[in-house]
Amino acid sequence: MNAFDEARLKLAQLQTRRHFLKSFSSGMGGAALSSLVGPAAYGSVVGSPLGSSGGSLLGPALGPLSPRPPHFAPKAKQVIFLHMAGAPSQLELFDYKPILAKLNGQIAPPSFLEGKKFAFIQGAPKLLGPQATFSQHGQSGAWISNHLPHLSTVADEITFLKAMQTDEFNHAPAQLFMYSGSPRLGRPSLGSWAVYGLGTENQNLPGFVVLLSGAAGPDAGASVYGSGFLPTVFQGVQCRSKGDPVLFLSDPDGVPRDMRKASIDAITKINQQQYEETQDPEILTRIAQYELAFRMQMSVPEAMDISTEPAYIHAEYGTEPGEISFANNCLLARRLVERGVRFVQLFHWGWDSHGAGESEALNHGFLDRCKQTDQAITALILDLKRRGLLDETLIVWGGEFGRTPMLENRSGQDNPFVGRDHQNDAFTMWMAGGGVKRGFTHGETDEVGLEAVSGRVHVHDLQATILNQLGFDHTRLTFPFQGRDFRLTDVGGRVVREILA
Amino acid sequence: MITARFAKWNLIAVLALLLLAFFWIDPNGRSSELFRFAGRLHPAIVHLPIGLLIGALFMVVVNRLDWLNISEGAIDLVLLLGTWAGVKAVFLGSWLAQTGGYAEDLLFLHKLMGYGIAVLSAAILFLRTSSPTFNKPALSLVGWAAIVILLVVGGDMGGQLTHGRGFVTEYAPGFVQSMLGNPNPLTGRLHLGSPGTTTVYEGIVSPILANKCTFCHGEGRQNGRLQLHTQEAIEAHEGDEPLIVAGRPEESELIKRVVLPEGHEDQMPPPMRAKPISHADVELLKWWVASGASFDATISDTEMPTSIFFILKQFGLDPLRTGVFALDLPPADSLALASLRSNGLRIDLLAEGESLLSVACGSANACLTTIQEAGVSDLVTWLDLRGSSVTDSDLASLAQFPKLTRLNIAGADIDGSGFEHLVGLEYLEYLNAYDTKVNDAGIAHLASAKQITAVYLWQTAVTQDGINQLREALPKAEINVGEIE
Repeated sequence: MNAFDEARLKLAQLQTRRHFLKSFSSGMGGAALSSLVGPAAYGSVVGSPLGSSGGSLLGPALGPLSPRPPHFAPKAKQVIFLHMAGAPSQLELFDYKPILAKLNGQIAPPSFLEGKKFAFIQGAPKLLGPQATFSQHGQSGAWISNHLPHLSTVADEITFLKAMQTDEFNHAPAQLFMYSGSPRLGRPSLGSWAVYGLGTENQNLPGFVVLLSGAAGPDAGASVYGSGFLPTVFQGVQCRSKGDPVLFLSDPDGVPRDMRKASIDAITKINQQQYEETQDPEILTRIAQYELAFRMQMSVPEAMDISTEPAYIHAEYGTEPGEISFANNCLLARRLVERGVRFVQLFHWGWDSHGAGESEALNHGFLDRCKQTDQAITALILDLKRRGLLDETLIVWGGEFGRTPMLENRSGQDNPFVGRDHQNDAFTMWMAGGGVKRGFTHGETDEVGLEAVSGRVHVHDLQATILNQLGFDHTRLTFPFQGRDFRLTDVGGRVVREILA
Repeated sequence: MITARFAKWNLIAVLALLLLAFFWIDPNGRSSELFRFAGRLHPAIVHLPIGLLIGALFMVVVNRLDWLNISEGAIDLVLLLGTWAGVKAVFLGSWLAQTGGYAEDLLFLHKLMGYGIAVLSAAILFLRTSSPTFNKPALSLVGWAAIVILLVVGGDMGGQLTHGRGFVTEYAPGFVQSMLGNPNPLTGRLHLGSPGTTTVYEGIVSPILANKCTFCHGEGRQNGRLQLHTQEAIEAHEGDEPLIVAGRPEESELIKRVVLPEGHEDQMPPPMRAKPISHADVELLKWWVASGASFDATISDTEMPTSIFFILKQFGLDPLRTGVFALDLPPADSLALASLRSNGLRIDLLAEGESLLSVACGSANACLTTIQEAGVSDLVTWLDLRGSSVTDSDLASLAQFPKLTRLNIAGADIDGSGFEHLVGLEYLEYLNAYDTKVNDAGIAHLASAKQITAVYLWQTAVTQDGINQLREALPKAEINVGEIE
């Protein structure tokens, strides 16, 4: 961004302390500020997050979402993040532990529990062997369980991260940590950072779309796709595969589209005047949102309408138009990245397999979750691949943490359901496409899957790696807030170069 | 009371002994073990004359300034002791030098300075005690000044001989370092500036050898008849054990000797004489041997494990730029880009500070011609023609897009007869032609486009035969026709 833009933005930020500065900004103060605030004051910010000031002065009116170049040539242009909310058990899916099977039913030695925090486990839990049969797949010989028969066929497209680690052991903070780099509220999410840094290719669609499925949303709520202290234009837009794709998007009865256009033009004019007066950048966001919403009225229903897909696509994904399902969301994800949406975030609820009830037990609900996702994820990989999109789209799969090798039996009585507690020190995630290796496994856990022994990847490392694939140095993608530059990876993060192709 | 007569004979004796040391102790000889043991005491004994002589000078100055009244006899005595301590240091030093491993030119100068200090101190003693027939104070002043200079310079040389060049200034503050013109010890050590043209040998291996080995195994010394200072010397080496076995570091003497355990008698560099070689240096040498010990392969052409990349990053290696990124290209005219954008093209820089462009034509008419006319076609490296009205004959103008790496023409109305124009695009890696009418005749053109690594042909008119032929012609490329594997 040029110096003029920068000065303008900085000035605007300062003047948002509205009434005090409003009274003095018209005089010498404003003039002095704009010459004082040089590139250094805003130096580490990539591009111009607020673009060309609503298009009044410089360039076309693309605003904050106009495309911007990253730090270096990217390997991935889009990201699809498949989040299995509740944290699926790595021990039933990818992390094969034959020794754990032999130890099934034995009391866990105290050393397994020392220094660890568990959400529910108390006393001396028993070890629980894998509730699945495993076999190796593909040229790479990746271990995948019988619960994922479809995914097994594309093992050679995938890089497994077997030694993931997170700092948090409860759902909401761990989800916030995964997406905002902090377990507490208030930071921007991964998708927001990506769109803040890159803008979006398709000006008629949101740059960051969120698709939810399952009985509930993520525990941490909308903050896991919020924009935190970034301008709100970068927040994730939740779209639905049933009913109005975006809530309140369609025109109310009796309001024709040209009337809607006229009213938005009028509102924009007023907002523009208010912006000239107060220089509050949030007004630009508001203008951009109204205009995006207006454009979206045309483009979103088209993008979100999967009924136009041919029958073989529905057969491959297992989709049913008109329903809310993970499979539908996978197909939507493909349609969205095809149209240049930068970041598509899926959440599928119901993986919190404690064994406290049938709906989430490893021997019941968990199997349903596998069935609901396996075929669609596999179809997504293959569909992107044959369209030449897997090459430039990074798919990330995982939960907010993993699950213990120990059986959780909360009631202490005979329980027909088996389950595992939360575990943050070792869990599995995987990536495919977007410039990561194909058919590769990074990291290893011990014989029972309790601790990572090599190739540890911390959540901040994962975030740094995703940003790296999008072309960012994660230490330079920053935003000044409350007196300092913030970044997604806080003060950590290392790009996991071992997995890059 | 030291008399002039004593001082004269003292000077003669010192001269005689030094001559004896010079001619009797052969620098390339090998004295008995007792002398070698004594030689090892040189670094300890050598500080005795330094202290005594500086003490004597100090007393002279104190007397001259009338601060104290030190007896001249006492000063003479200290000077005498300093002289003989100097002679002793010269002998011990000469025996130490015989044990070898020191830079010869530096050693010779260092030795001369030792001689000079002993002679000068004996001469000053003679001056002090002799009758005042000539200008004593002036001559003494010159003598003392010379001794101080010799002590400082000779002492620094001793430090360099023992610990290597740059020992004293190693931890000097940054401004001192830059005044001395010392390169940054990390980024200035290896030559990683242009990995596309610098070979691993000249950029990495040669600087390490120069830093760690050629002191004893180089142009000057050839310990063990081994010279490592040039490619010719390395290639010409003949020894009992092979110096370098390309691809097999564990069989190469060059590597075997630097990974021996501490205390092993064959350990290199020898622990008594040199700073140990770092783990990073060993890894880099191993990597060079393991990847074929080539003298011609450039840094960017040599496959680099992550661990090596991390090491080289510390030494200042930038992310490797290969292919089209290794080219030095001028930035595009921003006015030309602006006019293209107003024509409805999406045109972005690939990255900050990068000249290469990513272009999406959308539904713009005559997109390729427009880009050409704007004069930026030779900077376009990603070209997205999805949904455009491009035809096979339009593809002829792709010759004006020599930097193309990714070409997406999915959904276009083409049959592939224009693919012949893609063969000459030397950087082309990715060709996406899914959902087109591309047929076997079309993809047959690609058979000679060996640079291509991925071709997407799902939902086209190609047949299994055509695919098989293309797979045969481009064995390394991924040819995707959408089959569910």
